[in-house]
Amino acid sequence: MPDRRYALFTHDAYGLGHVRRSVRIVRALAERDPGASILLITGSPATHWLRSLPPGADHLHLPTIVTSGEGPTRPATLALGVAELAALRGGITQRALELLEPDVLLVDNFPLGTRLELLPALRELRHRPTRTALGLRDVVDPPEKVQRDWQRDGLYGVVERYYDRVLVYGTREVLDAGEAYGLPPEVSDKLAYCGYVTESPAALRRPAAVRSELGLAGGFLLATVGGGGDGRPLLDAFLGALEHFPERHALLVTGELMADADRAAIRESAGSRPNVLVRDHVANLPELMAAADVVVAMAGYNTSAEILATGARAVLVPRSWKSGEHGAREKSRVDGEQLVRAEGLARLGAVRTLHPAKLAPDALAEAMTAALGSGNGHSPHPPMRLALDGAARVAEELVRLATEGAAR
Amino acid sequence: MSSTHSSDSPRILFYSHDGFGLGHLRRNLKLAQRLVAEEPEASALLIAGVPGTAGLEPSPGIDMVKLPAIRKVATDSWQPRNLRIELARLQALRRAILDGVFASFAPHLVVVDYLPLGVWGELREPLSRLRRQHPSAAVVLGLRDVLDSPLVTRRSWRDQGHDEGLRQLFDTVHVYGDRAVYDTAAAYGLADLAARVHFTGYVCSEGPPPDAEAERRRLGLRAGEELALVTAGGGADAFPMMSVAVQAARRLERAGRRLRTLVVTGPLMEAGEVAELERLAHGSAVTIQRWRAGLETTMAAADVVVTMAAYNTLTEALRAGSPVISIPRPGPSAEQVTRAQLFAERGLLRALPPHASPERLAGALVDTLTSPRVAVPLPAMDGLQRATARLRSLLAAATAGNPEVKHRAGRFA
Repeated sequence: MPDRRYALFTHDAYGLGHVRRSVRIVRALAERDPGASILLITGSPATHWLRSLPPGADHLHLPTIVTSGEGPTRPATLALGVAELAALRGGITQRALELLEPDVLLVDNFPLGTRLELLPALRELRHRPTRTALGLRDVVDPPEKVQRDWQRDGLYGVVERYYDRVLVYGTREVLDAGEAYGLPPEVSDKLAYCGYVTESPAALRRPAAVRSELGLAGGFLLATVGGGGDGRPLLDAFLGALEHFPERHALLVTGELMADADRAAIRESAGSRPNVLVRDHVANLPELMAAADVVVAMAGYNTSAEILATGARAVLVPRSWKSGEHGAREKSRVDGEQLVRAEGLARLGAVRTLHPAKLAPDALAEAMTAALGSGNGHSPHPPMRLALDGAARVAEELVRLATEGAAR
Repeated sequence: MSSTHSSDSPRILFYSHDGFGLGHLRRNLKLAQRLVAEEPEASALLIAGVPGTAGLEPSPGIDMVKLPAIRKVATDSWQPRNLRIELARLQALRRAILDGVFASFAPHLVVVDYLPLGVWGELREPLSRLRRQHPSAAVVLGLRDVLDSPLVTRRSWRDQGHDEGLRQLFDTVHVYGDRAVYDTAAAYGLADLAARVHFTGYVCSEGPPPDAEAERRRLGLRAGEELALVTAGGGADAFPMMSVAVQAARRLERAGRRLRTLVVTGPLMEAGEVAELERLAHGSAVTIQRWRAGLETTMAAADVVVTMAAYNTLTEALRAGSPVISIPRPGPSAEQVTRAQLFAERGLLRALPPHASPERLAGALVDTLTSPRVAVPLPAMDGLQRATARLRSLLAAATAGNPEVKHRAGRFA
């Protein structure tokens, strides 16, 4: 069998989630198809994640275009108009794909890229043997927003015409993509749920070792807010909620992106309490999750998947934005993607959730108490049927597509 | 694809092929940063073929297209570095990407580092098309001081069409060196282009004078302790030199010298080689670091810098004012041996042969550490400023799009 070629197109959304997920998929694919060549095409500035690309894989870096929440998509670097930049990215991508002639192309989350720049490439590939897959996060966006966007940009037709398979990096139990996004039967037929793409917790150290490194004899309550750029309200509420758990130790991770003033305020407030540790950054978050009695976090994809994989008991509080941030016009707005994910996971009993509008020390303490009393903690949730080997299953689907393509 | 731009902000394209280290990209990046600082409306796009580990943090006005990487195996011979695809497909893939970049970015100014037509002549088509479609665009070749032995470079440039391409497609040549050190134009057969060749001086980083004392405190140096810094850029082939340096340092420690040695391997050294250096250094006053921020400051703080003879590291060390011992790369290119010799002749450094032994290096270290420092006049080191000024005036003429101006600026053919 000739060595196969794969290409992944990963857009440059704000944050690191998409690139991390793509690199995990590339690694799983290299393991599954060891002779393969894999080209990851992305403009994401998060290039340090690309250091862990396996042998046989390379990346093509495009000029960056950053999408930020609801705000306008704009060039991050070059003084070009958005249309020019999209044309530049689309032109490079199309030519690269035409020449690489991959057996399979996997496109991340946006069927036509961030600015519809993939259309020429996808059109061209339909005349060639390349098979195409669209990878969708467990929750792309709130369903009504996906329906609106897809209607506006004609994406239903695009997926029907230009994609052979739609791979969901999540489970149907959390969100039924076909139903939620109103996919026509021709598109629904292409759906395959692959489970969450996350690191296997197999390599984690034992909780006792992690606790003793923190100088703790027993369990602790953990609060993490990802990068931390918008994590202050949750950490404030968490510190307040600790009044209800005077006997317990706690660890707060503020994140590297938290503003200095917010971080100082958190540290000051935490400093007045015994038993409370604060860290700006930790390298082993999944280990800490596995060692904690309860994890309090927002509901981003990677954090949620790590919580599921470590089997931690958790309270998820979806991110919300204040007026003026990320184009929010209302008094405040909840991140719809995170809300749908948190509620879906809570419905399955995998986590507890608290709506950010109700975020207050007492309410959070109540949810934490409920979480502490649920399940056994520290083991994945088999009854929830939450598949956590997403990368391996995506790789398997891509190899199958390549085989089909060869047979066609 | 349309190449007309609604915004007509100045656009500069830098190309380097980076078949081995990071030197070409680093030099282009310095030029791009300075140019965009002076021309805030401008956009600089760097095309590079660096290995996957070496990314570039985008900053306002500057971004990168990273091509699938290649590896130089011999003069004029490269192979795919990561992808397991046929050579012909990789060549076509890179050409297609370049084609797309030139067509949609439509640069006003192109700066090519080193090979006029790029690897495999991959720039010939895009540059020719740019010439036809945007006659006012300016195309510049940037050359470091020493390329290879004149014989090898001349033969390669003749056989690979670079000579012809240079004369047909380029407006001007910037030599990032000093004619008083080496007449690059004469050495590589550019005498007929003399009027179009400009020596800019060495391109090295700018910045405030480094605080050497603070760095010595950070490193925990005590009074009377001496610091040797061992560094070689990306470090892809620095292991032989660095292992000799570690052994030489241990030798001096055993002889009672109060010497602290800091070895910065660089990001491209293989993990196994780093581990071997750590093993060699075990139990000594030698510290091995993979990477170190602000290396120029460490250079200024060092009593001696031991390095190979690469353009960037050598010029940075000279600018920092520290005594330098050079153990050049043996080959396949004669570049480093030539540069080390040229600089040694001017008293700028001590050059040892490529395969110098630990004893020999230890001797040179003692020599250097016990000799009084003599201020030797440096070659022209203001290449960054002068090259940028030249690029700005080319850019101004090109964005004005005035063929008259362009004509007076001249073209080879």
